[in-house]
Amino acid sequence: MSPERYEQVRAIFMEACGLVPAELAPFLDQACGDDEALRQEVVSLLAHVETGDVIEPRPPAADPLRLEGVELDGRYRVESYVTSGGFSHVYRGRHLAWDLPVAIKLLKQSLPAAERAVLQDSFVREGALQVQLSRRTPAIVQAYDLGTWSTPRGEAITYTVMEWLEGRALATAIAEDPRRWPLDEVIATLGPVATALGVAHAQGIAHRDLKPDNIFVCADGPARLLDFGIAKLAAEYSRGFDATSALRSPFTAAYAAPEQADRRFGVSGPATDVHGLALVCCELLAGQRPYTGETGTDLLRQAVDPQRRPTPRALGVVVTDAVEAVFAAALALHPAARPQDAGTFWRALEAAARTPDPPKKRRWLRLRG
Amino acid sequence: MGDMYDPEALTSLLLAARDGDAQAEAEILPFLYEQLHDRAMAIMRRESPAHTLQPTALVHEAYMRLVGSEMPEWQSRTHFLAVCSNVMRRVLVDHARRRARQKRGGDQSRVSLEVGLGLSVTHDADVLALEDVLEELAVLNPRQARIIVMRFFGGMSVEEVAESLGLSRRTIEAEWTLAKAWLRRALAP
Repeated sequence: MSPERYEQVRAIFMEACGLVPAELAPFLDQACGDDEALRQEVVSLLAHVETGDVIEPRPPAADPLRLEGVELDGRYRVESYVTSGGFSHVYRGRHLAWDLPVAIKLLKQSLPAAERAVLQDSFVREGALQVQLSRRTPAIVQAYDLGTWSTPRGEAITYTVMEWLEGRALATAIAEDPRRWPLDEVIATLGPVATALGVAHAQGIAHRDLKPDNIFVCADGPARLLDFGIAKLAAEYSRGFDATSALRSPFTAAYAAPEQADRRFGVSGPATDVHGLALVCCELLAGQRPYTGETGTDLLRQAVDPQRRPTPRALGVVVTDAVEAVFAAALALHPAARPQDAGTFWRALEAAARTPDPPKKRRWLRLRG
Repeated sequence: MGDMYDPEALTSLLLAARDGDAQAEAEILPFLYEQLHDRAMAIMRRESPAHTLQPTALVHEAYMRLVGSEMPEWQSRTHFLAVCSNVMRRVLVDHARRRARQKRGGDQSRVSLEVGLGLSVTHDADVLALEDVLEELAVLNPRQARIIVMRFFGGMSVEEVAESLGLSRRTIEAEWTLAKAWLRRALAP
């Protein structure tokens, strides 16, 4: 068979796949005409398609680990499945002795065994890190406990128990209620997140994947910073910020800092979080994502474009000179040119928000003169 | 090449290769080949049915071991798996050919490619038959052959293949359906 012939077969096969049986014969009559060999080829290939071949998107499992109703180590009862991330499942549960709602996060079992062994270790470290950080601020989701559950099939699943939060992710809030946030509201809402990052930075830890999905807006109490990630922790936890470290962590292209898109700009660290926090602020102010693009490459190209720093004014938001300047610094291409930790950035932003622009008259004079 | 492993160097080479630097790709391939080859041989040497070689597990293990914590997650993982899937295929085919030349019967190496194909590829002869058919398919439709390699040898999901080839999930599923039907027919006894 020639590639051209295969292409012909392919085109007809693809259309035929989507037909109900009754439509097939008339379609093939029309598509193949009197080319009997072509028709036979398509029919023969169709005969080798098996039911499972066309993979339908699987609906999210109601209870992927079949955990609902199960008691973990006699201390927690699992109540209901909540959601799944890349590496873990989250359930709502109850602390039996204290009658307190908790969130229980369990490492996925569907990952390849080799990958799971590495993640298992990071998962435990993530829990330890979370305890270390969360006891210093209420703005980081509080971790209570770490345990291992033995499944009926004899597998051991590691889990972390955390405080249960009522509310929604900032990403959900943005999607459900798209609007331009006033600066005061942005500062009031994200202030706790800046505090949380400041605490992490003081401990020598950077988040490196700040985005609206990782910020939880609580119905009662301050917003919380979520997810210090798993994979990125393994090395970082012991190393702190080593300027020579080649460590690169998972991040999200739409919220990438220049140094994450291209290492020429330096290594990632607290200044990466300053950039990320500024980017989230600008998204709220503008009511739109600062970077838009179809592919990760598009997004990363914008992240390192010196002509396109996504400051409020660049996104069409009217702000004072002082506020614009704070964001311009926080979104600088080079990490060294930014405020070096979240606390410094946030104090500058709060001060700038209270600084009015100089009277407009002088500008007019300058423009005319 | 055994001692060239420097995570930072490997990461920059992988990033360059991902961005289309052919030179960088040419530098990585022998290293990945050696890594995967050594692991595969170590497993197969055990010659026990309990140690059936699972190429996709090896590829994922290589990712975690070599670059798992060094690379940005979003795209490079896919690229790494795509490159490795082809390297894994070479390792298995070379091994099967070598054994065929040595005319060793009996103690077949066990390789398990499980992708719901309804075919079991558990012996050297199967690996070689699959290779012939894949080469044939690569002439007719290179894209479908690549999809098969990524799915079979790299254990990549439909989403990952879609991302790697810059195509939609729907397109990959359609191509995958035809490619599988074609393979199944070609390999049918």
